[in-house]
Amino acid sequence: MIDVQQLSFRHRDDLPLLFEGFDLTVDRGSKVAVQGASGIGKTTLIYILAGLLPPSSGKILMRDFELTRKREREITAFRNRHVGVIFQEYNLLNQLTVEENLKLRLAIAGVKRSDDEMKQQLDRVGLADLFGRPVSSLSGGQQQRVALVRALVADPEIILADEPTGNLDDQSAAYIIDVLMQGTDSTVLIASHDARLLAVAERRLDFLSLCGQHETVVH
Amino acid sequence: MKQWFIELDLLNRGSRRTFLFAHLGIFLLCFLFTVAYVLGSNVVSFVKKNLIGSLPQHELLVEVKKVEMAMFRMDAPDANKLTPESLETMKHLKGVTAVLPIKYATAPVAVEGSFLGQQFGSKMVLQGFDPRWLETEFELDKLTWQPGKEIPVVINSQILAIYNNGFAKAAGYPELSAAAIINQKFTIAVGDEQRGVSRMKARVVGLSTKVGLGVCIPNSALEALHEPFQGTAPVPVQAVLRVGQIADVDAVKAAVDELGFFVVEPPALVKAINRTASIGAAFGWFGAILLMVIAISYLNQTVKMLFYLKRGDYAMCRAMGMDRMRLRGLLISEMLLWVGIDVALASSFGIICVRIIHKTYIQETLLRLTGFAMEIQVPVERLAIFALALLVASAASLMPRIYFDTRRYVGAALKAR
Repeated sequence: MIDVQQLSFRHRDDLPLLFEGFDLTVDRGSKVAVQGASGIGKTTLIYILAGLLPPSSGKILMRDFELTRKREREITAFRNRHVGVIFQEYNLLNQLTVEENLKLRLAIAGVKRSDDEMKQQLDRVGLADLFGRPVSSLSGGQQQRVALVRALVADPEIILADEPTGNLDDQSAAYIIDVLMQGTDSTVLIASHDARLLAVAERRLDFLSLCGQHETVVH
Repeated sequence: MKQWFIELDLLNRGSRRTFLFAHLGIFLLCFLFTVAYVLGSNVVSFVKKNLIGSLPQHELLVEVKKVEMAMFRMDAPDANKLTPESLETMKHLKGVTAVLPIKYATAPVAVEGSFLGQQFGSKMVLQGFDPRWLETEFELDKLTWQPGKEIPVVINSQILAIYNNGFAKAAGYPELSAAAIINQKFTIAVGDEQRGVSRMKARVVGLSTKVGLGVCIPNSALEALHEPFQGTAPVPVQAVLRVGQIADVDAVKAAVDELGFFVVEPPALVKAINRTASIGAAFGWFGAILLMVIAISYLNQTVKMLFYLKRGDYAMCRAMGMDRMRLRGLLISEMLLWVGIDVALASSFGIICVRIIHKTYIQETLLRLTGFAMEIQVPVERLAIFALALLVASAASLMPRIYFDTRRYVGAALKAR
């Protein structure tokens, strides 16, 4: 489903490579976690795989879509149809309600969902009662759960998550881990150093070992 | 379309106050522009129609080109004749709205009558004119002659001045007011004993500074008087060319010169008024363009500010899957929609305000000061052109800004959120 070969990245031409020789293969429907220390490039990896940043070199194949050979517009269209992204900072639109955040994602994706369907999705993370609440009034854990539902609401085939449980309380983290690991048929790739999440991932990969080597199954 | 509104509505949530103030600014500028333009254009029209229109600045007196040779004035080598054909040619010159021929009787003319109980009879010059020439001074009905009726006569007011300041003083006669002459009746006789005399009753209807120093009557009456004597109509010796726009005067003068005629220069006062009106109009246009530039600049700054406030949300939308073109389309169409609404509302409100100001203050004041009433005409077509120009200029000025602001790679924009 996701095939990454010899990926490298540097922020600017005058800076050293952040990472290089990164190889990764993720099968369809599998739930994979990539672990590594802070600043190693996990967030950047998620951004690159989501097509939000261009890699310096390497090849990325997602389904049959070769991301590294496509133009930005095609990448955006691919992401819109097939990828859901969860960010460490939630990145919700704070001035909107929970419902409106979901509706905006659906409007952009061109997908229709009834209010009941959206509430069902929220119910999976224990937030059905907050449907009409402004996002700004929610706690960090609740916001991250809304961000998770937003990533899932248009039924993407691939979910990319960057530290989805970082700094969250156990209850919020449990909801998120449960949905990502058991509650979806999508292929899930998570960048995290949260032990709670790494403990339940189908495959746990070390970021450093993926650079310049074949992938190593840690767990 | 529904999706567009959803996206627009959701993206603008949270910055509505800023958004409202921004558009209030554009509304105010458009409102001021509308009030200034509608009021200004109406005042200019009023001045042209009633004040400048009453002066001969839009009228050029044309006659056959002459050269002086010793004691004679002769037709110039490149002179043209004032014929019905050449008058017709002048009528079609760009900027000319009317050609009013001035004719003179070529047969002997005498006037006979009585004044203050004294019989008089005198040889006179008889001038014919097109009644439209004097329409700013007389009602046209007064100058219209119908066969069998008295001929309306206009006398040059200088004749009365010559009598009062010269003849009356020298001979010890009483000086006369205009009332002594107006409504005086007499007979105009054209011809001589051998070839026959044509006589018609006439009555003075008023004085004017425009007409010649003789007995001045409508052309139709002159032709009727002339016809029994010679069997042909008198030919025009001068023509008044009426020019619609001050700006066309120079071009018309050049064209008339090329046709082989001479233009009698308008008085210096008229030239000065024309120049002042042109300068005023130029300032008006400059002001209008300045207001438009300010509006566009304001709009540009507003978009810049809104974009700054919403840059994170736009980046997030792109991260979710909204492509650049869609975001750009959304932003530009939103801005144009709002500018369109601002302009439409501001123009309507401006027109209503102008009508209220006119009714409350201007109408009565102008009537009292000038004696003329001013009606408000809304230049709808021109306002529509200005609105369109503002929309086009806004789009043209916004496109580069929106283009560059959305050019950044979405990951970088998102990290800067």
